[in-house]
Amino acid sequence: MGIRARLAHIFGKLGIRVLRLLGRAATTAPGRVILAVDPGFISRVSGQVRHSRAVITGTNGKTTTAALLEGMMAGAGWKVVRNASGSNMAAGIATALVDHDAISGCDALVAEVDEAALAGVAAMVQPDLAVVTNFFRDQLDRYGELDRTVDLVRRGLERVRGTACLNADDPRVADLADSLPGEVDTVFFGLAGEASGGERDAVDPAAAGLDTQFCPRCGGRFTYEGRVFGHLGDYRCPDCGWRRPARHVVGRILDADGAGLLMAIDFPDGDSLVAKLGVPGAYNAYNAVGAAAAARAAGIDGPAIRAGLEAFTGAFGRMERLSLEDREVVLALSKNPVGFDQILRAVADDAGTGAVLVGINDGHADGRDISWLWDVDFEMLDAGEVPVVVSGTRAEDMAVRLKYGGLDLERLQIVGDLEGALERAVERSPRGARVYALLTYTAMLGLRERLERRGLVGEMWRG
Amino acid sequence: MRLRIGHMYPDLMNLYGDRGNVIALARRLQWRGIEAEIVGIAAGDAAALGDFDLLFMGGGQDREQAIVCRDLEARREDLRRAMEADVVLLAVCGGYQLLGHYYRMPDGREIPGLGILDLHTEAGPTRMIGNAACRSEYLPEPGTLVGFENHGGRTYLGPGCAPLATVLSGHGNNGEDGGEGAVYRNVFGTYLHGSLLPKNPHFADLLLGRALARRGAGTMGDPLDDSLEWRAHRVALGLAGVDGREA
Ligand SMILES: [Zn+2]
Repeated sequence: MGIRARLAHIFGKLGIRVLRLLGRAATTAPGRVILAVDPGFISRVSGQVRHSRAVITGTNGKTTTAALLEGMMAGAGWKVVRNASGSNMAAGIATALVDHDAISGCDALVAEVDEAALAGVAAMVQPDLAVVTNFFRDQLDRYGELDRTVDLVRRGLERVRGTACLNADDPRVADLADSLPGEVDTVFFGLAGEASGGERDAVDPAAAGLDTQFCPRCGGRFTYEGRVFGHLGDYRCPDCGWRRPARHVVGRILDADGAGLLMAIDFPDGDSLVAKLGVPGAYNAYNAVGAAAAARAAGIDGPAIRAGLEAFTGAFGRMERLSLEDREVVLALSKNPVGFDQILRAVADDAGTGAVLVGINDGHADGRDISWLWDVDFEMLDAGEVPVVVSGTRAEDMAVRLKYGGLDLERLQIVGDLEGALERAVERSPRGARVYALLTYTAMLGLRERLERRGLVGEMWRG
Repeated sequence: MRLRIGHMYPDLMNLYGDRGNVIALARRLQWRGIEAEIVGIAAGDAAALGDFDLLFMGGGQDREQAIVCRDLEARREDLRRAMEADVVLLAVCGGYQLLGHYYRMPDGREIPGLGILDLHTEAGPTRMIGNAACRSEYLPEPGTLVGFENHGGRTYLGPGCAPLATVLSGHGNNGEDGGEGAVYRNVFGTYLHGSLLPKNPHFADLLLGRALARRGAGTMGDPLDDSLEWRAHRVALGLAGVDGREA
């Protein structure tokens, strides 16, 4: 390793230490310093990774899929470097490489990568493994439209050698297979529709399946044999005949409750495993299958995959639980309509719900345009009596959304400051009940930082 | 009294939370004790547009808009007759562009529109994105409209329609002439979403008032308590960099 990379490593290390001494999260700022000192740092260091360099992209589930894959590889005894959740551009990856001392060797790099950053990051990382989770409308004002996002990912995948794991149940993802470089193996993964139980058709397609309903090949309108949620399912184009490709790795939800899933995963070689997952929802089942497909492609065996699945308790902010004044607080990252609807359903179905906090920020990372709030079915909160506290930079917009959703205004309160809003929600909730905090990305980051200082949640960069 | 509201292409043209506009119209009628019937009009549906009191159309992605374009071609005369009969129409973003004469692509190709509004749109080199505020003479005090714009097209009005508002902050129709949106009879087009109507209750009521007046209803009844809506309106003005008092 050259002097330049070593220097960059030392500067980065210093930056990370200083930020942590100040009680701040070290996510992207040190990475910017590292790349300024050595622009070739990522490609130099990832060139030394012994077994696997994986990139994970798509709208939803990047962090959870990456965390699951990391757990599976760790289960096989590998030393794994993974970037912090949401720090999914080059700087965040550089920070992770330095933080985990990848310069002195590691077995795998697992990088969640922003769709728009994929081409740039892949050029540096030279991945031999890629996972594409799904394409939902998200943060529209950052990239323009979904078609453009798909194209950016398509371009990024051109840099991948080895294996690409694609969600076959999402037509836009499955369609990427045809433009992959010839020497790349495609592994299609998905969920068995018939076993998805209560999740099936959980989302009204007319109300929320607004993302992809049209054949990317000919523009025909898809018909579905079965949907898992949103536009994910067994689609078929009546005009050109294109349909969901045969899946190599298939997950089945055997049992589900608010706390988790029991699922089976079948691999192409006839191998199969059953594992308990400590996070709920069909969307997490997709993350589990995607990660399992990638782990298998990297040569990880069944027992290690199972161990990784069962050890998992939630990536940063996705249904993280903590205790506050005799209430259980559940932090849930909620950043787009489909993700929000899934979490709202869990909140509405939970008889133990004591209060709900909805924190909406409109920072760059959240998407500055908050019109998507009108695509979320907040009407699910109308039934019942639980108080709802709204917060964040767009608390007032959120309050208006709930008013027009039909919520009784007696139940509604606006508290701009997130920490104050959480305290208010806890106060208004009975003891022993659960307080759900549904937060956009920067709202989660802000609230978590305060909770971290009070020692109530673990440090984010280890999440 | 019962108003029929037609939501045109709710599955195809709902890129920016556009259904919030329809929710706002329906709720504000309900709160006044007026019945609202919401009808989704999908591509291929047989629907007589003149039978509606109020029509709404949002924006879509290119792929979806191409389908809508084909469907609207068959409805052109029906829609034109409805407009001449003063059916109220609100079109946002992509829907607004479709009402014009044509959309000129970067390569010079022109996609014909409906020609209901005397305007045309040209693809621009960059997207115009951000919080926006404008002031409209059509609206009662404070006269401001707030929302979020995100469009690549530049729209230019002809003499046959008037701008809906004057830009206070943001880009408006084309980033050049200070105009935002367009009005012709009871047809309103705008680039603002957010959703637009929930936090612009005076504009929602303008549309409902015109639809009710057309049906011979003299008054809308007592004003609603819109304090929450105006709070959100003021926050949005601030985000667009406009001081509520000077606006
Ligand atoms: Zn087709």
